[in-house]
Amino acid sequence: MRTVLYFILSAFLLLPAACSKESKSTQQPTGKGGSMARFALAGNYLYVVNTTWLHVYDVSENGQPVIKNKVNAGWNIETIFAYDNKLFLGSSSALYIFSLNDPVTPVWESGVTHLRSCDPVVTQGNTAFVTLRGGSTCGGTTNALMVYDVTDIKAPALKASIPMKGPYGLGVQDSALYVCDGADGLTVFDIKSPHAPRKLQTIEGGDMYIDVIPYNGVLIAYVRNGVRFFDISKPQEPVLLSALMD
Amino acid sequence: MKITVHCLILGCLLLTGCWWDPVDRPLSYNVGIVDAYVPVYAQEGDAELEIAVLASRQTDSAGKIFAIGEKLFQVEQGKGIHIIDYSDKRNPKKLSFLQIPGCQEVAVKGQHLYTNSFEDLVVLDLATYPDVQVTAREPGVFPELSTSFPPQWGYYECPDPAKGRVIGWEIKRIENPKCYY
Repeated sequence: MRTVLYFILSAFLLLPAACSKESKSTQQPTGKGGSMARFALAGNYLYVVNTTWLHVYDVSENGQPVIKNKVNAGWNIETIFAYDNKLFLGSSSALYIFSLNDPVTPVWESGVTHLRSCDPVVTQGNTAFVTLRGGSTCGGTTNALMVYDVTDIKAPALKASIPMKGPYGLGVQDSALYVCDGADGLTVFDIKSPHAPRKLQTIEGGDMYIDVIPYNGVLIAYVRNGVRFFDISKPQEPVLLSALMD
Repeated sequence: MKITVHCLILGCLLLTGCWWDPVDRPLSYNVGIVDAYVPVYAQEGDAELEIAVLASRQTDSAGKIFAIGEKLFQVEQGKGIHIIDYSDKRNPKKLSFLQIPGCQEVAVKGQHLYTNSFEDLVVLDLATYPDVQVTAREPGVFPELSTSFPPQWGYYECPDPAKGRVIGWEIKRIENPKCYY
């Protein structure tokens, strides 16, 4: 009887401790990278691309990544973006989509080839946005924002191609798409109709915009000499908060 | 389907590959005396090749970014990572600089920072910051990052692996640089 009492007592004592520990771990923030990264984190896995291979690491162990898989992904892979159980890979000539139904076994679903260029990709809902940048080390001469319907991941359908000056990275937040158009500035599109982005404005700041991360109501922009922070509580109307350039 | 796609890509590569690939292909001709990028080397054991937490420093060649909570990590291309506290979004502040030679990539999950040092995938434990430990190093994950290219295209002195790792570039007036991209 006494043992049972102790057991019940200790269970009550332990319960709140267990709960607070639980809530603490769920409070740990999830990070976010840009659109031009070679790393993508999803669940307990880190996906890494080099020019030809997609590596899958289990990162649940304390700081000791365990290689789980290595998948041949194509040529000249430059970027990876994880979204909704899928991986979107940008190469210098194509967009590749892998499904992650089994997180350690990415399965190649489709590829859309385009003209030679550099091409980061971001996705929201069933729409993938890709920028193509020609010139310099990227090859090709196309500079455009491409919009694909990826509802059927086995057959992405091109919905729009919008000429740009020389776009780099891009980011999406609700009804707004932000495209870094190099020295031209940061272009904001209305994507309420995601297949037909409507250009709203280009924010010029005398600097080169390379990539953006929309994160917790803030748009963090990587510019040639540092970073700029914008308030995007109204996603279509970014307001410059500060710049860190020294 | 995949084979078709790959054949198409291969076709494109064959058609355009000759002028495009940014590899250091020695030039067969002399360009004379020109301003060109020259590698800055460091050798095994040099302080520049260590992973270390240093005082915050100026951003010279800004790189990729990763946000988590109210911290922003920004790569200083080839050199390391700026750790930025932006809890005050109107007045973000650099906290320190993680020196990671050959760095180009950054991602953070929990207390661990994933990056590269040249061709190696490197994991750092930030839990005991500013005492930062390397918890893992996977060699050769990024073969294409083993050598760096100058910050701008043009003529440059081809790196000589015998002289060490290329940790930076400086412009010098030199005779007949043999590399170009």
